[in-house]
Amino acid sequence: MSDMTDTIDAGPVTARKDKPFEAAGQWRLIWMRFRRHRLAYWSGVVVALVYLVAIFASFLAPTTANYYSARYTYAPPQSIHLLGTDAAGQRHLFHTYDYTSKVDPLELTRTYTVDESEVIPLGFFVRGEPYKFWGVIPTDRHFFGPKEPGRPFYLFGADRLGRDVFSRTVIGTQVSMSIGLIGVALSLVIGIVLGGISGIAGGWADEVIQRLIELLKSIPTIPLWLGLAAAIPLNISPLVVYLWITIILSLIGWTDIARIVRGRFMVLKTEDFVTAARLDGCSRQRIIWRHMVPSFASHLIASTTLAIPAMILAETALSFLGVGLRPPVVSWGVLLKESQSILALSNAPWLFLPGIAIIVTVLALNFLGDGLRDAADPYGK
Amino acid sequence: MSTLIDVKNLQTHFFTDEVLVKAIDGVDFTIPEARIVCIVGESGSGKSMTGRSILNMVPRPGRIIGGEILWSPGGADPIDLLHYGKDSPEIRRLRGKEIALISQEPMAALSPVHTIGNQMVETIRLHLGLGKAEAKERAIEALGSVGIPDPRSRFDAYAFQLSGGMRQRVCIALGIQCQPRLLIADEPTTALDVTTQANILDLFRNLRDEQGVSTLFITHDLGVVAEIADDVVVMYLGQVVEQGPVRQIFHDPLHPYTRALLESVPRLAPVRKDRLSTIRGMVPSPFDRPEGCLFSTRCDLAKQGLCDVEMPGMRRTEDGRAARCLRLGEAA
Amino acid sequence: MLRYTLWRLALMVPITVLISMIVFVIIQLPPGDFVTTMTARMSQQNESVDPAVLEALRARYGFDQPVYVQYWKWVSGILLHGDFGQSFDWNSPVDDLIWDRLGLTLIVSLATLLFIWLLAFPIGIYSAIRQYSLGDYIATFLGFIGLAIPNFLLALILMWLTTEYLGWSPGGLFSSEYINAEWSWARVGDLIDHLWIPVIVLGTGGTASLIRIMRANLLDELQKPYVEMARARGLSETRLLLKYPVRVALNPFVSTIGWLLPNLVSGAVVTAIVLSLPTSGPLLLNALFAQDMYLAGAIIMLLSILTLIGTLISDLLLAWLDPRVRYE
Repeated sequence: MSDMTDTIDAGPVTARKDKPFEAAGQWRLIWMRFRRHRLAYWSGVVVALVYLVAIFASFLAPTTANYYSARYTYAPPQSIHLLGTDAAGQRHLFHTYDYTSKVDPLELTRTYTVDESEVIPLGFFVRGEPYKFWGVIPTDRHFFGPKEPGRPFYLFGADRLGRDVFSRTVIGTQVSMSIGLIGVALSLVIGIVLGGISGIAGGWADEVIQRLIELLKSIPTIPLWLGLAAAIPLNISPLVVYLWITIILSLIGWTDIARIVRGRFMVLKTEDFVTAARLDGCSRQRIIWRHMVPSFASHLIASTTLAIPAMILAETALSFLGVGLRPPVVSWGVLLKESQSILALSNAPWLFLPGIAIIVTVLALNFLGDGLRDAADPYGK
Repeated sequence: MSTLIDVKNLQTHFFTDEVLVKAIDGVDFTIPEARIVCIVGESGSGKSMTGRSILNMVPRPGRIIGGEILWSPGGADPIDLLHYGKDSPEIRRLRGKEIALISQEPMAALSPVHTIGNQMVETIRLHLGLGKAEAKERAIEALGSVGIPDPRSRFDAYAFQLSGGMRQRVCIALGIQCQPRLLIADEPTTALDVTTQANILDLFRNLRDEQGVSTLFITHDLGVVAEIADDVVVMYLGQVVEQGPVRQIFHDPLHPYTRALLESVPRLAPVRKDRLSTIRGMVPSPFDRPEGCLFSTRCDLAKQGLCDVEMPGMRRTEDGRAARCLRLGEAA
Repeated sequence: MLRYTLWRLALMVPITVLISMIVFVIIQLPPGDFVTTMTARMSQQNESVDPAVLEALRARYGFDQPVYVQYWKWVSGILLHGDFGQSFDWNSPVDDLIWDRLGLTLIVSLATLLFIWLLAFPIGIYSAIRQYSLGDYIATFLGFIGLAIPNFLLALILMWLTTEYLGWSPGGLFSSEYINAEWSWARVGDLIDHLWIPVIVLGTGGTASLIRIMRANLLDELQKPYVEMARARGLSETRLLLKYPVRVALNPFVSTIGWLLPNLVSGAVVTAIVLSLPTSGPLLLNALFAQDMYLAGAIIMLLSILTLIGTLISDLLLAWLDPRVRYE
């Protein structure tokens, strides 16, 4: 067995002289391996798209998050049609159909039926609800939506107040995706600093940090988060709440990263190339930043990617329980809180749709992180 | 001297995603009863795979695609081991009972979480159908016979509690406890220091002399070969390039590769040359085998237009030796 | 082994003390205290409260004393009298409220652990020995989905499906006639009837990750020389597999108690709220909203200790299973 693997590994090295060695840096090798990992590659594309949606959310959403219309409470999703004729015989390219609604006089609930005779033409770059793009540029252009402002267009249906679930899901992307990113960034900073100290300095600093990690890990996360999140005052601005939640989430998140960083430093300290660099008279700083960190940066990126979905799920859970973000902030967790009551669910199962967004995103991030981890492992297959 | 096992035109190939690797490409040799046959070769020559192929234990993605392995213990009618499936009861009855494998990494070859006794008794009971107590006695006896002091207390030890030499003895005890006819020893002394190595080699010789056990000894160490072998099979890139009795191989090698190998061994005897000679170039990649004679790219005697065109066959000499060289006889 | 056990037990003490401090800080964090919350609530209902009464209340609960004194009062009460304090919101001792619910939390968590093991063990082995087979792909894919669905969403979906298609609405751990009944076999049966939904909800994520761990470990082990050597001794593939690699891969499996249990306890909080289970989760959430600090503190504290004990058991089991540790 060992013989075989020897020669297979030695393959490229012992190639004949007429085939020159192809030099590929660490990152290119990782990229090449990653490209071969189909699922991870396409998941990466999905993740990139989701972040693009988050960046241009308010433009991509047909309306604003809080625009509501009491006429359309719990309106079911409409579908988009291409090519069709309306009652007047006029042809339309890109359109949907209006509803007719009836109010049940006893239960005071509305029932909707799609009225195929009433065509609502849709278009791109249409005028609609005014909003401020990136909070600065006032505009009323939306990527797509009904050509006449005010006509109903509920791709994912409407909620209890007649708000557009699709627009809210798109806009919720901003908070949900950024909280994952910022939370992980915070965890990364704390994790690298503490893990680095632990791994490089060793001794009592290592002991203290290791015990701290063990301690934090032994408290069940959700009760801890709940306790901390419940301490956030109710009367402060949503932005501050957002920051607090991010900090609370990274309070636990850093421990895993710190462990990885520490472990890597511990191993690398005894590696020959580090010893060689030290004997060459490299400064401690240089050894750490030029020799040690690059050798596990790829690994760290993979672990970080895998930490993002955990953050997203945690935010969702907290908001869902009502101790995380609260309306009027729109996040996926906040949206799902709407679907909490079973009554709402049997009447309006489309309130689950933001959940699909969560599942797809988390799935894509997990596949991506897995693929990155495989690709980053220099001794992998 | 009757033949115990006769390997004929064995071909074991590895089917990886990209390429086909011919790890063993038409190997022939025989192992007589009560003889120690050494397979010598550099890493990648296919010598370990030859051992695995005899037991039909080639790991994926490898497959034995052709040849015969004729097993005829005590002059019985030969049976072809390759007719049996990889996990068939027939081949399993032979493994560990008639043919035992001893690996080169004694630490890794023993389970980290089972006692030595546990692993020994399991095999004894499987093959010999003994009761627990009898099996234990037999295991202890086997441990004692390979020179393990206080075998009774070692019986309950774990691999990590023993020294390297002791572990290798345990592995050999595991191999011989059911009194096999053939041992396949895959570099059993590589991981050991010289003194321990000498002791272990003694063990194999004693087994041959006292119990008539044959050994297929796989090694890259010509020093070991000189000490232990009766016959030698030299392999290069999955083919046998020369075979014959050890004396003749060492004193009058026929194949340029064998000669080059011998010259690259440091000697303590009177120094003739200042520098140790090496074989030029490197073992070609298995993905990229040379045309013609496989050794032609590194051979000093290679003749252009002949050696890099025609693949030499195995040629026999009158004294029962064989070599795979087109220029056999003309060069020396 | 004995020394290791004693050492691990001794280590529990400082960790518990530190946790109690953290928990106390957490329950102290919200601005104001229960009396403030109560006043706010009463003034909302246009009731005015006599400031003197409020002061008396504060003094009674020790809110007017420095934090460390309050901490000491709390801890010494627990240690010396097993008294977790008074729940302001429920107006009864915390002890009366929590034990039943913690017991049920433990039952749900352990049932889930069992579910996870029973499912993950065979599937993990199958996935490893039939690597890249259709079954392996299906298991891997379902595993990823299981990891990606938030617990509460899965709970909601299951609830919705059962009401829509099975015609009954799940929720709770008991049918109405058994909620306040004494323990009996019938009640246990009723519990088991209700247990499966929370167990599936809680167990999906853990099963998924455990299958992946089992598969990866087993694939690693299958490559090891000792497996090949056992094969060379004539063992059949099945026997070989079950005796060697599975036995070695069992170690990480056991260590899962250590990290699964905290996850389950955590997850149980969310799931319990959605499924309205009479476990500690909903009680904790309400206590936190109402600033019912001793109740919240007791629950977080006890859940943490439960986790600690889980980790301890898994570490000890692991040490016992691994001769290298056992013979240290």
